[in-house]
Amino acid sequence: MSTSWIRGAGLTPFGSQQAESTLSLMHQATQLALQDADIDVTVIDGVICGYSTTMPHLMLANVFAEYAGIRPQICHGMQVGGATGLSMIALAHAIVSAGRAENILVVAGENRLTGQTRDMSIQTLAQVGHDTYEAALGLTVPAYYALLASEYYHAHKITERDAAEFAVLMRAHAARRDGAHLNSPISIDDVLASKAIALPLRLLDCCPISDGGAAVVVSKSSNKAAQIRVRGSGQAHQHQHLTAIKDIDNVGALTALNRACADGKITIADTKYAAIYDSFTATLVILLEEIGLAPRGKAAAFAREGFFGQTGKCPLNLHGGLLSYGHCGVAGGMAHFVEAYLQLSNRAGARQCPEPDIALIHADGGVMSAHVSVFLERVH
Amino acid sequence: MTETRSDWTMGGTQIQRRRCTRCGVEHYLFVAACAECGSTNFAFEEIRGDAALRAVTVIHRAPHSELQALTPYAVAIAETPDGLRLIGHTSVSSSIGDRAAIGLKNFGGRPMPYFAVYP
Repeated sequence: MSTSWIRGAGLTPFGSQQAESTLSLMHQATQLALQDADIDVTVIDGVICGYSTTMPHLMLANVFAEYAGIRPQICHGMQVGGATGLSMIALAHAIVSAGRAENILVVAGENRLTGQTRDMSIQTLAQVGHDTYEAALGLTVPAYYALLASEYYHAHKITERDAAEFAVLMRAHAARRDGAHLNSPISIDDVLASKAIALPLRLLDCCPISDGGAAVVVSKSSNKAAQIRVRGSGQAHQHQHLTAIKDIDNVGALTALNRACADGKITIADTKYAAIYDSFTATLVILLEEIGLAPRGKAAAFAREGFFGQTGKCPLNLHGGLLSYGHCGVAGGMAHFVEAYLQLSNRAGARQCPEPDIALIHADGGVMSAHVSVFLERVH
Repeated sequence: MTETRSDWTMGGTQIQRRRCTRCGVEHYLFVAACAECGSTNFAFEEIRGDAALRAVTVIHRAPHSELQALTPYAVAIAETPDGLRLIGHTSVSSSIGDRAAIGLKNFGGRPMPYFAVYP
């Protein structure tokens, strides 16, 4: 059976890392991943890397390969917004499964916090909106998601207080994860009292801007310590711009998930650990409900009942997610994957959830524009 | 109905939609081909009249300092009676479900779509 294995993973601390660059953060993560995979850099025959807004380059993967002393036979850079990390994993899986490479390094890093001004970061990210029709209106990424949130909350009777559950939950999870950007506890009232950014989203509904890096080795052969393989993957790309969304209850997340289920001959009910993209509290609410980890309008109630906690029925983002572990771009999305891998490997220490064998990782890029679902499986 | 775009995005005074001349599906954002049928033939026509607000945000943190001076400002997605969704500015006191007149209004020195909510 053609498959691919997650051979190892590395994640740097997120937050402010003044002395680091895109390349040095990518390299730090790479070294951690190679060590974890117990392989030498010389066996890496493929490099797939994500973009960096602080280092726009025509061929970042090649620049990085040279920097890291790698001479791969496959070398790609990818740009799928927040879905880039999972898209890279899905591509690496396809290449390895097809026998075209044996050890692919999937890597991303960015000094998004300290490598540019906050305004520059906000303006660069806002270009995910249409330059003429959307960004020109004075919109930002939080504003695009605020528009989504306003319509979705209205349709499903969700309050700002409901959504705040997820800011509090991610912060509580981050408190148990070394390297998290934000780890001081917050309450629902703190979220509701935080300053307005683009209503209904407030500061604590938004992920921070961080520096950090992440890397994953996708291989033909498994790690001896834990056998974790890609069980299935699926994608959907129905629109790019917010204004092109036709139905707020069908943005592509479920389509991607259904394709991953068909690919892996698995159902969402098999999920024992969930790693879901959480750029904003609203992102998490919409994704959880569209992919069906909670019924429409009920994700917050599930969170309140402990469903998504460490010992709940479906532990969610136990590293703290983008909302609290932090968001440095592509590596921010990969941190969800790294945590899923650690949880499946039973190596998550104090935040380990009880024996998961199947993890679902889902990411969206743009404004619910690009969706990628991946199921990982522990093989005993 | 015309065959070339001449709306506010091109310095004109209209807001236009483009209708696929093969399958009839309408698009608001400028696209080169219809995602429903693949046709590259469109007819442009003015969007006028009323729309209902479907999504509203009030922005307090602008992308840069020039616009920060104009905060808070509100942006909405509005839907025409025949189901076309467009995006523009609106009043900060507007709410989802409000009915509004579609027009153009200056923001930051440039005309942009504006949804004037009926009192």
